Amino acid sequence: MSTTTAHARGHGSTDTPILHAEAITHTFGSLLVTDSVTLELAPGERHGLIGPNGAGKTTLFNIIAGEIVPDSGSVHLGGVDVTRLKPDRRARLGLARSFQHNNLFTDLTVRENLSIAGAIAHRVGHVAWRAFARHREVHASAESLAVALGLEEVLDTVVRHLSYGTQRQLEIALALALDPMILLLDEPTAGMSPEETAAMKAMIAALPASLTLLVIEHDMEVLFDLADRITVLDYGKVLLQGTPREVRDSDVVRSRYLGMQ
Amino acid sequence: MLLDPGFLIVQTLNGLQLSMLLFLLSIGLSVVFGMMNFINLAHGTLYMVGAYLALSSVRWFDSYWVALVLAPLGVALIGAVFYAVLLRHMQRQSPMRQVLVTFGLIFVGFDAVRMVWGALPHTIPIPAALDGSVTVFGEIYPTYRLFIIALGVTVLIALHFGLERTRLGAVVRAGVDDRRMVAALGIDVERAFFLVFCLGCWLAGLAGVVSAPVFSIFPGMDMSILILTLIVVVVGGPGSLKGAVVGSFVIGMVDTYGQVLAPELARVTIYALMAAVLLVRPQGLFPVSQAH
Amino acid sequence: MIGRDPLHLPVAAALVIAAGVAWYGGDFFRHEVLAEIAIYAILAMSLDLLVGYAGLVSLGHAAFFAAGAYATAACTVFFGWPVSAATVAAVGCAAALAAVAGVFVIRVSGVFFIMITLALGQMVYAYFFKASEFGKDDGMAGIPRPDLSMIGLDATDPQVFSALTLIAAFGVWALLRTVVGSPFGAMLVAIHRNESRVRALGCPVPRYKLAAFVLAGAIGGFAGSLIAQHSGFVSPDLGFWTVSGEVLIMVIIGGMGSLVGAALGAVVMVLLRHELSHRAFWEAIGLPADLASYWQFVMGLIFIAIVLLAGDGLYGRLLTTWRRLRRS
Repeated sequence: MSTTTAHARGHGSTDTPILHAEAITHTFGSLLVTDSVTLELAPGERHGLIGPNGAGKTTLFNIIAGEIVPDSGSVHLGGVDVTRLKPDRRARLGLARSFQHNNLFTDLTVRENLSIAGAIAHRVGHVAWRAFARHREVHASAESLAVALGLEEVLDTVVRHLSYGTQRQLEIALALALDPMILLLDEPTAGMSPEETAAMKAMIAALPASLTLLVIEHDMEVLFDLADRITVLDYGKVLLQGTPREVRDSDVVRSRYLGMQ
Repeated sequence: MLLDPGFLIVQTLNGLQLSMLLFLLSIGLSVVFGMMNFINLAHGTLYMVGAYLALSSVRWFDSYWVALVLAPLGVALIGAVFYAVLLRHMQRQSPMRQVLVTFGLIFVGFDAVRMVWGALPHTIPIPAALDGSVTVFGEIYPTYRLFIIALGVTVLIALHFGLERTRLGAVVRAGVDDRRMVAALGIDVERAFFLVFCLGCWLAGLAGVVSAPVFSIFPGMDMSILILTLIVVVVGGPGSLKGAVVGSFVIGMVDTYGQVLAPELARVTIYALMAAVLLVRPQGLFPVSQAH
Repeated sequence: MIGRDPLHLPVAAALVIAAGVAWYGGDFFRHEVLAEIAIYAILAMSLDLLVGYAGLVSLGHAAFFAAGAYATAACTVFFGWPVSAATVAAVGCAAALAAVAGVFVIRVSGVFFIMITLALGQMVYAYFFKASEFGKDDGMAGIPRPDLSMIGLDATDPQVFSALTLIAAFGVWALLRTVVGSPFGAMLVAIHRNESRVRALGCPVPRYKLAAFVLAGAIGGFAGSLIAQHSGFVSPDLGFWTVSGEVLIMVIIGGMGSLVGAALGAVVMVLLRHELSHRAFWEAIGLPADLASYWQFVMGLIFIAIVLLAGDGLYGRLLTTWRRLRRS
C-alpha cells in the first residue's frame, strides 16, 4: 500500500500542524452548533473527537471536509487556507473522509468502487479517449488496496450484497484509495457487532503511522486505545483536550459524559 | 415612453393582469411540486381545456357566469380522474417518468381538443356587466381586465387564509417541509395531495375561463403559458405561496414590459432573468427549507 | 469498465446489418426514412450520454438540434461556405451554446434540471421564432447537401445521403462508446450513482457535468446540421420542446445508459410517427383513416404506455432475457 508515501508530499514540518481549525463557529438558524472550536493535529497524530449527541461533532467534521462553510473561523490544511474551498478541492489537497452512514456506489462491485476512487486519485478521471480497462495502474492499486484491507475475497461482489461490516470497511477503503495525508473517520464502528468492531479497530490500528487521523467515535474504548489525543465537545464547545488518560481522569468529562454511560 | 405616466399605468395593469393569470396557474403546480416532487407538464393543457369548456358552456347556457362556475369544476374533475387513473399508481416512479407521462398527456390533450372543438381559433364575448371601461388614474382601462386582477387577488387572499387557518393548509405546509415526517405522524398525506392536486386543476381551469374572453382559444394555447408558469415556479421557488406570488409578479411584469419595450428580444428577457435568479439562488427566490 | 454490458456489440452489429439490408433494397421513400432514423439516432445517443450515463435528464436537447441546424443554414446560405465547413461550425456553435447554458443548468438537479433545460430549449425556440434574420417562424430554405462530386457521388440522391447519415450515426456510436468506456465515462456513471461521494473523493463534479453537457450538445448540433442538409430547410419547430420530449422518449423506449438502445428507440419512434400519420396504415389495420390526422393523440397514449410499461426499455429487456437464458 502506498499510503506511507503520503508524508513525503512535504506539506509542513512537524511543528506546523497538518490540520488547523481555528475558532470555528457555526449556527443553524438560531442554534449555535459549533462555538469557537480550535483543533490542531500534528502530522501522524491520531486524534479522537467525542461528545454526546448534538455536541456538534459531525458539523465540525463537515466544516473540516468542506461540506459546510462556517460562519466564522478558518481551516488550514498543511498550511494552506482551505476555509472557502469546496470538498473536492480539499480532497485533492490530501484530505479524505468516511461517512457516518455508508455512502458507497451500492450497485457497483467493490472493484468498481475502488477503481472510481483510484481514477480520481491517479488523476485520470478526465481521460475520455482511452478505455478505462487499459488504465492498469488504477486497477492494480485498487486491487492491492483491497488485499491490504482484506477485501480481496469480495472484489467482484456488488456492494449492496455485502455485509454491513464489510461495507463499513469499504467506506474507509474508498477514502484510503486517495492516498490522503489526513483521514477523517466518522464513527467507523457505528452499528457494528462486537466482532466487526474488533476487526475495524484492528484495521484502523494497522493504518500507516504517518497517516494523520481524526476519528469521531461513540465507543469510548475504541478511542482510548487508538487515539494519541482526544477532544471532548459539549454543546458545540471544547470541554477538554488531552491524552486519553487525561480525558479518562477528568472530573468534568466524567460527570458530563462518561457518567452518563 | 417610460416617463409617460399613462403608459406606465396601462402597462403596469397589463402586467398585473398577466401576473394574476400566472399566479392562478403556478400556485397549484408549485405546491404539488413542493409536496410530492412531481411536476405536471399537462398543467397548461388543463388551462386550455378550461377555456374550451368555457366556450361550450357559453354556447349552451349563453352565460359567462355559468361558464365561470362550470368550466373550472369540469377541469377539476378531469384532474381527479387523471389522478385516480395514472398519478396514484406512479408515485414510486422516478420524477423523469412522471414528467414524461404528463408530457404524453399534452399530445393527447392537444388532439383531443382538436377532435372536439376543431382546429380553428375561437373567442367568447366579454360578459355584458364587465364589457366596458373605467378610468384608472386618468387612464381608460377595460373593466374586464381589472376583473381578472381582482379575481387573482381574491384567490390569493383566500389561499393565504386557507393555508394559514385550515387543517388541510397545515398538512400542506408540513407536507412541503417534510413529507415523510407528516406521514410518520399518521396524517394522510395522500388525501391532502389529492385535494391540493384537484384544487390546482380547478385554478388552472379558472385561469382558462377568465383568459378566454381576452385571448383566443386554440389548440396549442397551452404551450406558451405552460413555459411561463414553469419559469414562475423555478424563479419563485417551488412549494410556497410567497414564491408563487412573487414569481408571478416578477415574470408578469418583466414579460409585459419586455414585450413593449424590446419586442425584438422576444422572451429572452424572461429567460435571462431566470438564469440570473438561478445563478444567485439555485433553489429559487423563496425556497422552502427542507428539513433533514 | 463500469457496468457489464455484454450485448452492446451484437446488438450494434445487428442494427448495422439491418440498416444495410434496408438501405440496399430501398426505394426513395425508404432512404428518406433511413436518413431520418440515422439523424434521430445520433440525437438520441447524444442525449443518452446525459440521461443514461451522467443522470442529467434534459428536456431541452432540441435546443442544440436547432442551433446546429440554423448554424448550418446560416453558414451555407448567408456565407456560402461549403457544407463540410458549415457542419464543423454547427458543431462548434452547438458546443458553445451548451457551454454557456451548461454553466447555469448544471447548478441544479432533479426535476429542477428538467424544468430549467425545458426553459432553455424554449428560449432557443422563441429566439428563432422571432429572429427576422433567420426568417422568423418561416425558417430558412435552400440548404445544400455536401458536394461529393470529387468521389463521383451525388449527395442529393437520397440513397447516397442516407448512406452518409448512417455512416455518421455509426461514427457517433463509436465515439460515444469510447467516451463511456473511458475513465471519464466511469466518472459520469459514478456521479450519477452517488454525487456526494464522488465529490468527497476529490472529483470536481460540476466540471464533469459541464463537459458531458457540452459533448452531448455538440453531437446534438451535428444531428441538427444533418437534419438541415436532409430536409434542405430549417424552422423553429426543430427546437420546440416536443422534439426534446420525443428524443427523451426514444432513449427510454430503447433503454437508458446503453447507446445502442437509444438508436433502437430512434428506429421505433421514427417508424411509429411515419406509420401513425399515414392514412394507409389505419386502413390496413381496419380503422378509420381519419385517425391519421389525430396521430398525436395515439402517439401520446403510446408514450404514456411506454413510459409506464417500458421499465428498462427494449435493450434492458433484451439484457434481462439474455441473462435469464444464460443462467438456465
